[in-house]
Amino acid sequence: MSTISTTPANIAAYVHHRTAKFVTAVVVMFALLAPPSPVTASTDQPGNRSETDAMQPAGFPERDEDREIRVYDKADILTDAQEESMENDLDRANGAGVEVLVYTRISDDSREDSQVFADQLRAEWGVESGVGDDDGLVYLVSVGSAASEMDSIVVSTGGNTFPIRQLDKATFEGIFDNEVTPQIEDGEFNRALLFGIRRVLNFAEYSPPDPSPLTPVQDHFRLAAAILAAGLLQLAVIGYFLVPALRERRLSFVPATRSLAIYATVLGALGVGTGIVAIAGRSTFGSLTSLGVVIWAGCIVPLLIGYRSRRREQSAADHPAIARQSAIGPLNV
Amino acid sequence: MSRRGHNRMPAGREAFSTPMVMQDQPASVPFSRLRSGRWLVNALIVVFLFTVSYAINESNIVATERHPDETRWLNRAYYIEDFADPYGKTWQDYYLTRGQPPGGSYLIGLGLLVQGQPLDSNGVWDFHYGDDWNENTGAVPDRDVLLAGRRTNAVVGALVVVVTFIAASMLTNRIGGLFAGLFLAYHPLHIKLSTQALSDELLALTLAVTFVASFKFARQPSFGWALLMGVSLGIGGATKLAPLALSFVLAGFGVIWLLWRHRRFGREALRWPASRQGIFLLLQPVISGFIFVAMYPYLWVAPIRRSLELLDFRRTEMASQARIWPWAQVDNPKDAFMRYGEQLHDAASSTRHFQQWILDQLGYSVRNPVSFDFIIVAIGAILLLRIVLERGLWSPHAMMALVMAAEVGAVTVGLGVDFYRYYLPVLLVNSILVGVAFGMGSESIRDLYSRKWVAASSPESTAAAASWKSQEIGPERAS
Repeated sequence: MSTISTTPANIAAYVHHRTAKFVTAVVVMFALLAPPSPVTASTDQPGNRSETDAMQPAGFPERDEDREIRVYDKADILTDAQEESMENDLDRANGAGVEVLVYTRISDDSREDSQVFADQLRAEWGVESGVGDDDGLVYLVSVGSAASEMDSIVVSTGGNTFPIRQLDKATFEGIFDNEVTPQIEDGEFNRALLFGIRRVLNFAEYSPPDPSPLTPVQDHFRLAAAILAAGLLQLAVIGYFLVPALRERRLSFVPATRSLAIYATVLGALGVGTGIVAIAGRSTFGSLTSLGVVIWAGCIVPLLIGYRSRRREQSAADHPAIARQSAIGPLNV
Repeated sequence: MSRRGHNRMPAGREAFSTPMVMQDQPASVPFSRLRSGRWLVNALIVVFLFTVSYAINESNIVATERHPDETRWLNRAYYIEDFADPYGKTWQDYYLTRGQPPGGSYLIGLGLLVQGQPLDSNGVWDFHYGDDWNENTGAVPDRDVLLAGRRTNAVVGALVVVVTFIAASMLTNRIGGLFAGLFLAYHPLHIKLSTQALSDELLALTLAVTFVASFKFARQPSFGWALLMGVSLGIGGATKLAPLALSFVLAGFGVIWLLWRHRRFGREALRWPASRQGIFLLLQPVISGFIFVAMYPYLWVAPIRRSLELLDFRRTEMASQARIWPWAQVDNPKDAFMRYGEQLHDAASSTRHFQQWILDQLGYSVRNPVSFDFIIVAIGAILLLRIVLERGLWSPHAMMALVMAAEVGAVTVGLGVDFYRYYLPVLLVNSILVGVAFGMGSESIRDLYSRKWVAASSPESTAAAASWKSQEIGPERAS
């Protein structure tokens, strides 16, 4: 059994120890009873610079295992609702084939250092649509620890990020300089990021892709279609007079119905054929010419035939004698 | 003999009425019954209806609230320019080209060009975000461009009223046509859609033209009317897809016609030109399909595959809309049918609108004006059925009734979401049915009046006059 010495030194140490325990207990008690900090109490309010300063990780950060998380608000400048909305946008962008990641941090780094950090983040976190695609896009927002003058945004893009449909690098830089950066200068972090993300998203979803280049075979078809279409145009004009000239031995602006029918059938068939070649060769001239010729041969000429037939029937009904005569004559074509 | 079926009088009537008019009182032939007079009266009514409808539309162009869809149609106005580059980037496979066929975009583009407005005034409205965001990002067109787009539709809406007059006049008479046109012109839904830069009025116009062409085709089965029918269905398909289904209904009708003819007259009936009507009906899917593809360069590369993808995409879109707006989801055709009553009778009604207008003019106010729309429509439907039964299945009246019924059926089956603009084709049919009701009503009054008049002027004709009814007209021959 141990005994407690009652020397003055021991008594002083004991009193000091009891005082320390009391103070600790009071501090713990107050800590337990104290109201929660603003950061934990309201999840829909971004934190301020000093409180979040201590949260910055030391060394290079690790990406969350969940790859669906694309917003890393380390500076706590976004509300929960804003983060959720941004995650939805980035999910849409991913669906459109564009991988975008947002990272915010408290930092007084220069713009150049931030750019290095963003590039490193994109490379080490594998921000790209597929392994090795190098087509990702990272927005890094750096919030100055003391003054808003140090706030900045940089973007890191891969070698294959652009073009995103009709969004080329120059257009993107224009958007970034004119719509994104000014918002940061105004302290509108969320708005800046929205412009940066949604502008890209708009191009990715609502602008058309470039037509794929022609293959060598298509090139041949294209040439053939151009030649055929030119010939078809001439045939459409010359044939109108040529068919009655061969059949009826006469030149006429109003050929007989059967001549017109032969002309329309041949021309229509050639038009369809040329059209198929033109589509295969992606030939605009060939396609539009064929379309015009098919409409001419398939719609307008038949209307002319119908009109002529009706007139003939009408005149036959009005003059039965003439009708009988023409029924046995050589001109009944 | 009159060219209109309902004036094709039975022998009994011609026997007593024509001599009486021609011999006894030649000077009293009404001007409107002369051929030139009839044209003039018709032309005057057409001008009157167009003016009334356009004036109503124009006065609402500014007041009608903006719909985000308008920005989409205005955004795609440049399609008309890019038709000249059918393999360019505009017609590549992506959301916008798959989203809607280009008919409405061509119309809006044409309207903007005619009114000297640019074709690229605004960006694409993103429905994932609200008005603020889209306004900030340039998805909203300038006011001038918006009004120019709306004015284009105001003209198309007025044309729809005119063609509705023609269609209802064919089924009954000019009075029916006039009421049909006025009913449509005053209907709030028609006014709204005629004052928004959307594509629905173009769809209605193509449908109305199809109705008229089908009637004329059944009367005179020529290539011209068959072509007009197919072309209008094709343009309608390139506007909203649904009219393409009608071409298959017509083709089916053609098959039935050919089978019936074959059964009745043997193989001779299948030879040209006796089989002309059936063959031209069979050709409807080909004609409308050709026009549909020709208008839509996106389809040129793979017409069938991309058309199917397009249909699939539209189905997905409708399902997605139903998911986003659950209140608008239409579960089945019965539900769709019930919603016609809500939308076209309760929410928007011509008779109620007309009552309000009259009362406003007179300086009275009534708290709850009553809608009679569906009562008149129901009467019109019954009377049209009677006309079809009397004239026969192969009559022009039956043909137009078939096309109208098929369109309503297609909307009823295909309606997945309760959006006001989807009801316009049904409203168009309703207007024609209203015309039938008033047209037949006016015929009855005229019969009653002529019987009394004949009885008073010629006692010996009383028996013949009393036994004649204008509605009792023999069935028409097949062709």
